[in-house]
Amino acid sequence: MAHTIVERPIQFCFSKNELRYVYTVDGLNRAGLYLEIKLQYQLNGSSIISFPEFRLKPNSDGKVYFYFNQYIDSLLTYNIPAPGAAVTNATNQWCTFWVHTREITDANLTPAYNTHEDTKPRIAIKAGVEKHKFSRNNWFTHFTNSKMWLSWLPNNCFVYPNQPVFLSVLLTSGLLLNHKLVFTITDVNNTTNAVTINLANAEGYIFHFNVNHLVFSMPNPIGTLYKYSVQLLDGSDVAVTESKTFLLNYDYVQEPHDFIYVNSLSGLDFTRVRGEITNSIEKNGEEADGGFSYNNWSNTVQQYNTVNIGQSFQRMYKGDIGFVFTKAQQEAFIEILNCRNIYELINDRFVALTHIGKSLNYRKKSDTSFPFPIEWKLQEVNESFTPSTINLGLGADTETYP
Amino acid sequence: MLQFKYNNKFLHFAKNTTLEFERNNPLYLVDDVFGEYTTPVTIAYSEDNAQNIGDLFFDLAIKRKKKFVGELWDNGNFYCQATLIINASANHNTLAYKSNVSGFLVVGLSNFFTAIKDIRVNSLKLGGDRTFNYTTSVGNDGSNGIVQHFQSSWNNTLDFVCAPVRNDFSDVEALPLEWLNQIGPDGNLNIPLFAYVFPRVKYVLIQLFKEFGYELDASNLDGTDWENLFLFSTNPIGINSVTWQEINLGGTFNNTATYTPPTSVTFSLANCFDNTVTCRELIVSLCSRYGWAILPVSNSSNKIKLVALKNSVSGVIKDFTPYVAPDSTSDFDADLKITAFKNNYNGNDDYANSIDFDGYKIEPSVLRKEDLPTPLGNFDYSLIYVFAENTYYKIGLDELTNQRIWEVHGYGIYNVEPLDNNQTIETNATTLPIAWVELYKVGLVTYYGYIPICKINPSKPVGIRTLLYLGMQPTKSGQGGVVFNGPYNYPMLSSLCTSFNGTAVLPWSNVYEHKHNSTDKGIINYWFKKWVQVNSLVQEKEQKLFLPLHELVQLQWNDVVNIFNVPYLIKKFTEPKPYLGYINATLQRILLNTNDATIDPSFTVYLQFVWENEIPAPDGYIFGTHISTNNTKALGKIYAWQDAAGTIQANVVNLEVRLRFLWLYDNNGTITQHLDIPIYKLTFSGHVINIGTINLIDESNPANIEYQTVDGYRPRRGQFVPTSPGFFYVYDYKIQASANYTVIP
Repeated sequence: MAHTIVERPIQFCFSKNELRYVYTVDGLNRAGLYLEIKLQYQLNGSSIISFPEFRLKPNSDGKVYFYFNQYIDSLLTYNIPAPGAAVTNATNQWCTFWVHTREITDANLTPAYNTHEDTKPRIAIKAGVEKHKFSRNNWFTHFTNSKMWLSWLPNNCFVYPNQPVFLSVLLTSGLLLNHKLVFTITDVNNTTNAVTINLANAEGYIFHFNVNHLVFSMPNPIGTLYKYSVQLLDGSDVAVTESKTFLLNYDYVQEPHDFIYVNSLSGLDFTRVRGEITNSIEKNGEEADGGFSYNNWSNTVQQYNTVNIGQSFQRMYKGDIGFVFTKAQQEAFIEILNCRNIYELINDRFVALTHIGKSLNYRKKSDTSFPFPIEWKLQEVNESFTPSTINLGLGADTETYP
Repeated sequence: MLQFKYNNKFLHFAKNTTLEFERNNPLYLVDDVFGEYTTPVTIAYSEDNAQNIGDLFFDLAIKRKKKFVGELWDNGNFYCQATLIINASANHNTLAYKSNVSGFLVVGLSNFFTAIKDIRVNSLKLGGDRTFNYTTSVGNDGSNGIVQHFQSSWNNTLDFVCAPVRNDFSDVEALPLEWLNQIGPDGNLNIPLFAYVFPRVKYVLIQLFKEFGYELDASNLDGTDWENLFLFSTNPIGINSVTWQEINLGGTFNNTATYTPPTSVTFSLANCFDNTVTCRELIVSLCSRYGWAILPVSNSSNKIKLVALKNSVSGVIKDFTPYVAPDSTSDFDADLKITAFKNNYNGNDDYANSIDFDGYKIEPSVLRKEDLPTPLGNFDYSLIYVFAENTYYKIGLDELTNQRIWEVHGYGIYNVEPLDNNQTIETNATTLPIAWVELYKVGLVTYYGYIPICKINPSKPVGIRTLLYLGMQPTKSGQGGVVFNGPYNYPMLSSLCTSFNGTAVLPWSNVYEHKHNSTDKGIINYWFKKWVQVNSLVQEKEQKLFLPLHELVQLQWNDVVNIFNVPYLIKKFTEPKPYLGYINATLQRILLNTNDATIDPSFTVYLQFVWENEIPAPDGYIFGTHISTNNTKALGKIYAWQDAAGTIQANVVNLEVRLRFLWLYDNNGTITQHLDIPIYKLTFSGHVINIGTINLIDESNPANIEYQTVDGYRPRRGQFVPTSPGFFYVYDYKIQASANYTVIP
């Protein structure tokens, strides 16, 4: 009498796609037979935690299918970097998991667990691909072959020097060990230099790099850039990622809105909304009766007889990212429509916002230029107003304690 | 998308079916169990559905409520075991596709209680038939027969106890029933006709759950002496075969019984229960009598925890502030909760009644009966409570001498109803009173002891009655004056925890109140007081909690939820299915200030592995027969801390730790990993352990042992010869992650 594993998730897997363990159980005529599965996980090297046991009844062919991606996905959250952070270890965007299993029968309710899967921990990434594109390891095969950054944005996108530009990487070694970012910088005179930035060692599978910040913080004058490419190499100078190229755009943009957003691969993508923008506010609240002054006829300041309760406002925007040069880049922005983690750089902070468009006709086959309409609001609701033009910077606690 | 899997197939729900689970905290359901169920669900007709759940879709079918035990899936993920209960249908005579059936789903505990709803306890196995040979009638002769087996229950190690109880029921037509399990003058069990066994509550509950495929974890009740609780029964076990003979005495007849010992006797603990007692009633009655609750470990597990309410608010304190919606509503319709405790005893026993206190003055209690004051006229309208026997005495009249005497007014085994009570906890379980009863005579001396008494017609149901077993207690020749100890002790069942002189043998008595001076050994004080205090605030708050799925499935009913540092218990919640990321919770604000000590603030142990005192070691130290040079050795220590900074010492007890061995290269400061083969399991207590002082045994290959060293040092670094400049082999260890501790560098 035993159960045998016949399928487990691949070593690296996506939490937003199907995850399953499949077992075959024999001795199906045993009274009260269930396969009990204890799903265990570990977040960022912290303690191992178990979900409460799942008890599954084998099918008539002895098969037990344990689907569980929702549970794993709920464990994971995104690490949004600080605007000035060059490297961010996204420790909350992945976890390791495995299962312990045992057969419960009326005759034995507490057998020992089979812990074989301890030796096969799987690594789940908070990511996924569309269902009709998903087929077990196909993305990871594609990833292994292409060495792609965790980005849907195509090569040769235009970026602005003062724009947050992030690239994210999946390190299957789980270790940033003597890795380096190699920048190939080409200035407007077509002079090319290679600059290597050695990265501090760290354990982790996903890292976000603020590449614009790294390029424009380089110690030596780098002149006016035409483009730069960036590639991650390991300690033996073997390429971990493809080389990604960005073209520099120095056009003046009035009141740009810089977004970063988490894409479906768990990486950070970005855009600058530079087209026409309509600024508006949505006002909430209602009027209520109340207030009375005994000396109203003689008061020089008249009391109000009604009050406004629950009054607040939200900043809303409607506009267009502006024309981009390729269909691929326009297509990549669809992520924004579906993304629940979009942030706008306001002064020195990333501020959460919500995309409020519900549907979008974004392209015709015959289009030759590619705009991208966008409509969003800041998630914060305010009772107090501050002009958007004022930059108060970041505060500091100057108290001494206790 | 919501799915229900039954019989290897998924039923087809109507498109976009959404449900709401109503889930009630079992801690607040002491008198009910139907806690977790859904809003109605409709299943449309399809060929698959009809094949799977039968003919309910068709008008001609005979309809009756049907249960389907299956699995609930949510968005393609297994969610839990569930029972689909179909109790309505809409049918169309000619167009089957216009038909549908509807019902609801139950999960978790409700799933279990739905399964056992009408099953009687006496239909269970409870260990099955037990057969013993009949050897002799002398219980202590060591012949290991049925009588000896029953008498061996006196040492309190069997699943039952067979101890004396007196039945005062008088019915000339009945067999002599004055005693259940009488003690003979030799101190042995005197059971010529029948024996009566009283099953152990703990055994019955564990077996009951086990027979339905559940594992009952009752460890929360450890230390409460609940294992000394037994269920009273009047169902006899025949010890002798009886043959009646009618002898003609010349006009009159004499009926004579002849007793013939059988070869063997078979009995079953299940037969101790009345035909009327269901599994559900037994569980609910016991829980509501003792303030116990049945908690599921999860929706999907076969583990169920039996917890005492008084110990229940000791789970992990979870800060849910990040998950709460800003708006909430509160309900508060009284000042404080005042609780009454009531028995709904449904068996027959003339002694199981409430006491009439009207018109009486309650005088201060006394410890023992002999402490009652001289019965004079100034006590004519008084009641005095005698602690040692839980009995109220009043003044009566001795008709022969015309003197006032103390006589029993009633037994304190029934309700407790404080003034202005605004909530009630009711139970069908009660106990038996006790009385000072003659147990046996030796010569001219009679020896007495307290035993349970009842007045039960054995042909009628006895209901659910529980008694405490106090073990072997001395018999006494009287209660006042010169008292002698009897030659034999007797097995004492009682509703109280006290022996003959009012001294406590167990921590609590099996009656709601058992008070004298500042002592209260009653159920309310022992089992309920803390819970009632914790829940004495009337405020209930309804608030939306945006719980991630993993928080929801790991939520335990006894978790204390902190919201802006105000503690609550989740009393109930509704959960949309498919899960939309939030629950609507009803939160009971609780008072922890009177019970702070019971809250376990999820104490975390931090473990740290460090090398200390690295010193040179001789050549060959590391690689043995291989040549190595420039060796060092060091003390490898595991420290336990209370804080992540490693500043406050922690003392652990038998903490299981796994240590992974690492063999590294150090190439001029660049460390790379070479091998990491064995994982050693060790158990340690205290604040620090030096791994050089213990044998490190490979968990996967126990033959592979790193033996302890003479000086407590372990190899640290060394170079093969010929050496490579700056290139060292490094030995290291890494503490493996565990749920029991957090590893710090």
